[in-house]
Amino acid sequence: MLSALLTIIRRDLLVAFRRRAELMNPILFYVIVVTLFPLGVSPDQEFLSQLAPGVVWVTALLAALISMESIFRQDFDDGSVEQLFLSQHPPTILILGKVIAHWLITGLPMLVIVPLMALLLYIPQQAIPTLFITVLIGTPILSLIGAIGVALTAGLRGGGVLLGLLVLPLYIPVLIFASGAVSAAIEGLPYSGHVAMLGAGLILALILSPLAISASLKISMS
Amino acid sequence: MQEFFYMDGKWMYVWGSYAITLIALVLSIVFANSRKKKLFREIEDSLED
Amino acid sequence: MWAWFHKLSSPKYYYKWSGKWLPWLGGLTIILSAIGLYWGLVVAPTDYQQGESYRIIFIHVPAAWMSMFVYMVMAGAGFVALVWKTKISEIVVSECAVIGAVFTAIALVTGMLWGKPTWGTYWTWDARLTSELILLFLYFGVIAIYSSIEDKRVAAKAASMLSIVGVINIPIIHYSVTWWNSLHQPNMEIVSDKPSMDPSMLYPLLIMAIAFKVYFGWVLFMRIRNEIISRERATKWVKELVTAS
Repeated sequence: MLSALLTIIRRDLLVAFRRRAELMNPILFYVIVVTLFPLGVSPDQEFLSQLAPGVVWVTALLAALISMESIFRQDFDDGSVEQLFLSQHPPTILILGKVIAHWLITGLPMLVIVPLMALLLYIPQQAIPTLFITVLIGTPILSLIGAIGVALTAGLRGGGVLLGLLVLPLYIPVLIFASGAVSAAIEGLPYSGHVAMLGAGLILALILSPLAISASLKISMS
Repeated sequence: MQEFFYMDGKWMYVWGSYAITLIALVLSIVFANSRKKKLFREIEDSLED
Repeated sequence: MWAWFHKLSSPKYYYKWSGKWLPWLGGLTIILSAIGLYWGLVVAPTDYQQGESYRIIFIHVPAAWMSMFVYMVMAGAGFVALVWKTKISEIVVSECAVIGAVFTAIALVTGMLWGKPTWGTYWTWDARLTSELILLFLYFGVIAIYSSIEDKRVAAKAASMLSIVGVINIPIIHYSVTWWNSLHQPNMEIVSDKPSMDPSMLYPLLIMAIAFKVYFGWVLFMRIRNEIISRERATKWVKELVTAS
């Protein structure tokens, strides 16, 4: 089973690297949107540093949403999804592999980009490690939950906006605890509770999402 | 009686709330009923061919 | 008991069975509402703090309770739809989505109209209102995914899946929003007060709550029946039913 998992991860990574240019898109999107805030509101340091925890994470949610599109769509169109269910391996493992691969491609770069942009928004340095931890734990949750939404809308046209409507409300707890942790760290207050909640969320998502994704894919295929 | 409708000056809010609620709920029933009649008419018409 | 449930999953039997209940549900709704409204608007005393505007709670709170209750019913029906795949449970999911959204909207609007005279502002990002708004988004999501799939049986399954995922998230969302709000609450905010309520106000509230529940049954049954007629229009029993009326 582990080898099947690793094979799927390798395969998806290979496919993604064939289109290397596209890998940059979510990252560029993230940078541009974060830049919009000082431009649209105010470049004032005190103001931005107050907004920063929220802005940095809201934009992460949006970037995750944008990047979610890639996860099942192609496979749905070319029939690979059916193969997934026909294989001898349990579909939940294969699905988990796909989500892990997706996170490696879209979430891992966030670990670098988010703290970087946060510094540009004047988040104090002492809060950056906390921010890093929230991104590390939070982005996999976004991939796991987002994949459920993609699985449900796989065959549909209205795609992107519909996906946002379905998935963003579900992202809200991640947003609250992640930005809360960063805000607490900025104030010098304890943030371990927030991070613990995120951790619990990740465990819950790891257990439940593959099942939900599998069921959703089956529904979309009918 | 005057006092009752005046609701301490807040009559707009109180009666506004009740009006919106009542209208929404009553309209739902009315709409369900009219859809039923429409369906029945449609099916009856299609049977007559 | 299971045999009865099993029978109810047949559209034809369900149609007959629900038809018998309709007049009772309708009549009970009207009677209970009349009693509750009279009691709440006329009999119940003026509130010490809020004066007369508190009377909005007699529709705001029942609407808010219903918005949660209907979501549970929808998710439960969704579970039945995914596991047992009955037509009726699928219809219940799609109908509950719309009815639930209406209750949620009523709760939000009446909440806003209550907030203005009481705390001076139409909107406030307090835990209850914010959670209610997110609930409205969840309903919209279910409605959106249902309407975007053409095959209505598949659409119902997708909607069922989403409502089950949503129902797991609702306590998480509530918890996180309550916690978030407790951090940011400005001092003078009185989060929707329901400390201990005087019986003279509690009883009409409970009566209205029951009235709303009975109403829900009434409008739900009507909508399910319509959907049954629409989907089963090619069957003999529907044709006979229509020509007989």
